[in-house]
Amino acid sequence: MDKPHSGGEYRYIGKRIPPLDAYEKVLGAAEYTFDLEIPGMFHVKLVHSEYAHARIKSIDYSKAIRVPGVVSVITGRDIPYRVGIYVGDRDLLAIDKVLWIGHPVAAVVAENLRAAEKAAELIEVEYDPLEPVFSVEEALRENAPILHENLDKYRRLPAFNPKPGTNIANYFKLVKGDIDKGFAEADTIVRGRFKLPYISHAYMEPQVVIAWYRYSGDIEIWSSAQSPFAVRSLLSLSLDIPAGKIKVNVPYIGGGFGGKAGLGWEALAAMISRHVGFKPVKLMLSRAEQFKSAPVVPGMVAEAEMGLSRDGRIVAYRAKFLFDSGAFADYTVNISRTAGYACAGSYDIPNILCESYAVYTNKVPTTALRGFGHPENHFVLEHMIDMAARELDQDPVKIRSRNLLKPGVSTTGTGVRLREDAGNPQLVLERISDLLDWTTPEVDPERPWVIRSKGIALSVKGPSQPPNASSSAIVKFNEDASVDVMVGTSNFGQGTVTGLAMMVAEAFGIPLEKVHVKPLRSTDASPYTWQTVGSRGLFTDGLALLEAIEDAKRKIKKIASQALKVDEDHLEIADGKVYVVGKPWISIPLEKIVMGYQFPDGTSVGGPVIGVGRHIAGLTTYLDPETGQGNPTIFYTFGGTGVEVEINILTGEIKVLKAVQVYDIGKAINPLLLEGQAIGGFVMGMSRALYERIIFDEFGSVANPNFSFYYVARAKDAPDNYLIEFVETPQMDGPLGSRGVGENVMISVPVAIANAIYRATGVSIKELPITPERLVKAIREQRPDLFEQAFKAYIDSMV
Amino acid sequence: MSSPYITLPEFKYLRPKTLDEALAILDRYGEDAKIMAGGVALLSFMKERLIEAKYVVDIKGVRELHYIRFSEGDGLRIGATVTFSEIEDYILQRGLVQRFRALYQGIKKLSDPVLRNRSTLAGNVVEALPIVDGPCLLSVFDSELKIVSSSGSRVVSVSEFISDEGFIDLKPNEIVVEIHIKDPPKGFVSTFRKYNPVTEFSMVSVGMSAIREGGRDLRDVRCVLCAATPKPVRLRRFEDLVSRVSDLRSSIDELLSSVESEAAGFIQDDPYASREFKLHIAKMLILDSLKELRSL
Amino acid sequence: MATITLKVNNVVRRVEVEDNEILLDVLREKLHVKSVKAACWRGECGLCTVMLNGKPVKSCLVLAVEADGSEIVTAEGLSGRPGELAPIQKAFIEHAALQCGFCTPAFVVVAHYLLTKTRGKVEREEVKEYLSGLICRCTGYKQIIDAVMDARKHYGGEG
Ligand SMILES: Cc1cc2nc3c(=O)[nH]c(=O)nc-3n(C[C@H](O)[C@H](O)[C@H](O)COP(=O)(O)OP(=O)(O)OC[C@H]3O[C@@H](n4cnc5c(N)ncnc54)[C@H](O)[C@@H]3O)c2cc1C
Ligand code: FES
Ligand code: FES
Repeated sequence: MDKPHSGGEYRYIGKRIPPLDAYEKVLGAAEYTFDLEIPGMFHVKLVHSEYAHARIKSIDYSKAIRVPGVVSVITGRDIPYRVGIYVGDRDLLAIDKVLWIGHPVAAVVAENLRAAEKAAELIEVEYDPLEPVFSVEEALRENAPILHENLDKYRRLPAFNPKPGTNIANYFKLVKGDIDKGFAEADTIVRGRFKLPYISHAYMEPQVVIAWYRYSGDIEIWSSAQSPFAVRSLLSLSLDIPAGKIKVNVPYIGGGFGGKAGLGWEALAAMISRHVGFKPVKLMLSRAEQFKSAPVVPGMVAEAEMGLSRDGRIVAYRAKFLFDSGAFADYTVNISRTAGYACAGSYDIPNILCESYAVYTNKVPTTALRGFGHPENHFVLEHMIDMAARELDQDPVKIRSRNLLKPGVSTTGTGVRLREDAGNPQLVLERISDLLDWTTPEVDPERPWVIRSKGIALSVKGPSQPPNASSSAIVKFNEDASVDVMVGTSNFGQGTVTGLAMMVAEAFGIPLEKVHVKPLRSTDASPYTWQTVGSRGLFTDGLALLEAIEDAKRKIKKIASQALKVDEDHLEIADGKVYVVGKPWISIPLEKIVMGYQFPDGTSVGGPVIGVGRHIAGLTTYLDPETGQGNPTIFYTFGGTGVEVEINILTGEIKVLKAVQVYDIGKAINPLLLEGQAIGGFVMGMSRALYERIIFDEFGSVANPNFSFYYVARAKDAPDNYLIEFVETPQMDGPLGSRGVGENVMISVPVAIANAIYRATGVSIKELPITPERLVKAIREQRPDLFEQAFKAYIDSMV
Repeated sequence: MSSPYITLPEFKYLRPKTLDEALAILDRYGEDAKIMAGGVALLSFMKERLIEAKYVVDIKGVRELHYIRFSEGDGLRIGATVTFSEIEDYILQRGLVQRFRALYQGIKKLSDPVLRNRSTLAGNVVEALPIVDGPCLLSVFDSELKIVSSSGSRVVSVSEFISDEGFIDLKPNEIVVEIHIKDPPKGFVSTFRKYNPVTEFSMVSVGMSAIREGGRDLRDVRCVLCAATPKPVRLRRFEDLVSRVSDLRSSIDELLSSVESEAAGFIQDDPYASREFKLHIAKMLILDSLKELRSL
Repeated sequence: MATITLKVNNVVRRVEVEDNEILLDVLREKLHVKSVKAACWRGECGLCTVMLNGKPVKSCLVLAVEADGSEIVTAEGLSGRPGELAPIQKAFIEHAALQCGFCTPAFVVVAHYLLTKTRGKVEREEVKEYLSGLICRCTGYKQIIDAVMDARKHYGGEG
């Protein structure tokens, strides 16, 4: 975009502008699906399986149906559909067989939630227990019980590769170079086994949907969903209803983090609505249900091996990721694929073999989370690099620097030459180590049992989307020359909408207040966008919007050229006016143009101005099914994290003292909101590193489905000291040169913390969360000397 | 802890205005009636379907239960409906922080400031789960509960009141009307440590008090181990030992092994930490408390 | 069924409630006051916090009947003047102390109370402690705490 007003400087772009929806939000006036009501709507309560794996013998709801206020009870047999975004493995309610504790087996519909809940308690289900499997290792065993006997019959996208007859929902392999040769050449090999737990997205607004199946066969949905269009297309596919008959509305979203991408409970709610006589129904999950029944985040075990030359070049990297997808692998198949193809992170590694599996187990189903396979594969890779550095007695920053991908020169893990304008990973690394003040760990002189240490980790991320993912945008002028911006990208506070509005204000030189972006997205009124995931929003919808702006400008100039009797290419738009180039005293305000121009004699030309734009991924490809080679993504954002932590050797408590976040985002459109992303992402990553895990008991039931025992970071845990910097290496085809960053900001956080601990103590923690117990145990096992020394120092301090 | 419900089952709400009225209700309905003070525990448990009540008896309307008093020599007397926030404010405003230091520290770390605007110390003690802090805090001091029923009143110490994990000496027709924390003797110092880095609730906590008379030596040490144990446990052998030590450094091993031998039997594994780790933390908290009391 | 009277954001409301109805639900479902949210229904997240007779409480653990005769204030009534913002709300906007905004009404209510109660004389650590009964999953808290620290000057403190 040119800098289109008098000063020649951007007026909005690059400025610290508060989010446009902040006013509504501080008053509590912003409406979420959670808040919506439709007169006469019924409330739905789900009844959940108490067995991890069992056949349903009978469901007796005779008592439930008699509860005053209850209108209906529905079971899986009433609505035997299978749904899913990548693999259609998910049922709406259990059909004959339950696959985890928490699997919805029935839905009670009532006039109010109290009646529905009361009735839900009275439903009696009889089961025939089957043998369950709770871990990926068990699930992969030869004679393991199979969760999905009909895996081969499920609808799936061609990019995925399930193994019918097993519990493997997807298998992916990335092959680059010659792995055996690579390891044969290596002077040193480091190895590790890593483990990540199941976690919860813990977005604040629970999953909630209102569905209204109408007599006409049209379905209207209101949902706390990240992607109205994805919901529509999946509803259409799985229920076999034409997309045009489905309307999905998404107002403000109270957090999603990937957990509300794809399909939620919309199909179930829609079918219930039909079942109760075409009446609107609202289905909202409780927090316990969010942990036990809604898709959560998969656990993972991984094994990796890294071969290096003596001088610190990574010559071979082998990794195997086993994602524990739980009972449905709906979205997790793509996480496993992404973790696989992006396993080499920011590094130029000649020989790679990465295998990745998504494996069914009798646990809560799983789905995407911010970062999508990257927090997982980076936890492995970025820690292996620190292990290698120690092994080779090299500096972790230097060894990274030596192996970084070089834009324009290196080929990525998937065999594409990294484009020249992909960013500047070297500078990112340099800035992190400078800002962090990369010094050696030191003991707190006042409390010698406490060590301060620094750690770093890099990350790289691009959207994981189908090769033809597309977006569109509309700018529509109003009589006062204000603009309605219509985009498909949803608003969960990530700042995209504000950024887009700033682009429009900038382009026409109008005040930001005159740019309106409505909070509501709906499939019939908003232009299409594939999904709001993968940090793609500002990038893809931004590009579509820029095209729409250009289109509107063209139309404006055409009208103005008739009005002023000047050639179109002698006109420019700035400061809310159309000017004649070189003769700025000749101009017409946009108000006079955008509804059509009227000459003094009453005649008129033109008409209302609407600009339309679109974007499609273009050059991304499917990946080769044998080697995983191909071009998976429209951009890469390089970045990373530096942390300084305080480690109490005796109690295992870890405190973050300082956080450095550096990302090459091409162009910082709104630094204030970008910082918000960097801080929010940091704390989410820290919380994951230190606290978060879903604990399953021996029966496979979630033991901690609440915030008392599933602890997420609170204000008192949050660090104050941040150094955040955005490197701006423009992406030539990005909107104003920018790239996406919403997920990247948390990818490298857990491993940076693990690396800081490793650096100070030599104790390598390969399992999250790094609980005090885990840390103390590891220190006592691996560095008893350190523990003894700390203890002695402590006693000294007492006397 | 895992039930998915959002709403409450049906019950009848009663709001007596006097203690007699409240007691009469309890007499009439027995087990079917449940007292509600702040309701923080009661309503949570009812949502979880862990407590059933046909009648919820809200005692917040009973004026005579809402008081907090301190007098020299007698100590603190806290009526049943006084919230934690009110206790906190009172201790601060009356300049009693040093005197009731462990209590004050404990309240500051108990759940969070917003919940403390509703929850009461009496309700907390009656809840009596190992993970709640109230019983532990009271055990650091000489404290008693005054319990009333229509047939009379009695006074019990906190340790007698809680017999085992969640089991309390309270009949369905009785109400805890007052908590009396006796005025500590001269030279009394106390502290409370709560270790909860991975959950809201305490994993291990330690309350400790002692008498200090100049120098760093402590006597009449009282050490209570909580949360990791089914109820607050006094570590009497440790208390004895530590009150007698002259050279701390040379006695550390002995002190710690006494903690181990006394405490180990009470501590269990749970999904959040192993027995060994809790014991290790217990020792660390005890050392820390000792260190602090010696430096006060 | 009982009829209770509440003063909600300065407006007197009468409503029929069952004994087992929760204040949160009555505010949201029956009085359509949506400026109070919820995310756990059991006292943990704090998003249901409202001012009840001058003190912040988590309304998911309050019965509607007990609130009979009470005065309730939520984020939309915080300034006391419809459509106007309390200073803390302005500070939240300036500091971009919100993302999805779902937690925001509760945070501003609690922060406003803290600043009013302490007349703006409050340290960062106290602010953090005080806000720790509320969960925000988006912001990482820093801008929230910054906003509170910055707003102190409007409540009598130094800012
Ligand atoms: C998110 C969360 C975090 C928490 N964190 C902590 C924490 O860190 N530390 C901690 O100690 N606690 C914690 N708690 C527990 C909370 O502090 C207690 O539940 C609370 O103190 C109970 O007080 P209340 O007045 O609300 O009791 P209520 O809920 O009213 O009553 C509790 C029980 O006591 C009975 N009862 C109440 N008063 C009397 C009386 N006068 N006589 C006889 N019986 C009576 C009731 O019938 C009920 O069984 C937490 C709770 C929540 C929800
Ligand atoms: S909804 Fe009340 S505290 Fe979470
Ligand atoms: S802004 Fe989303 S939870 Fe706080």
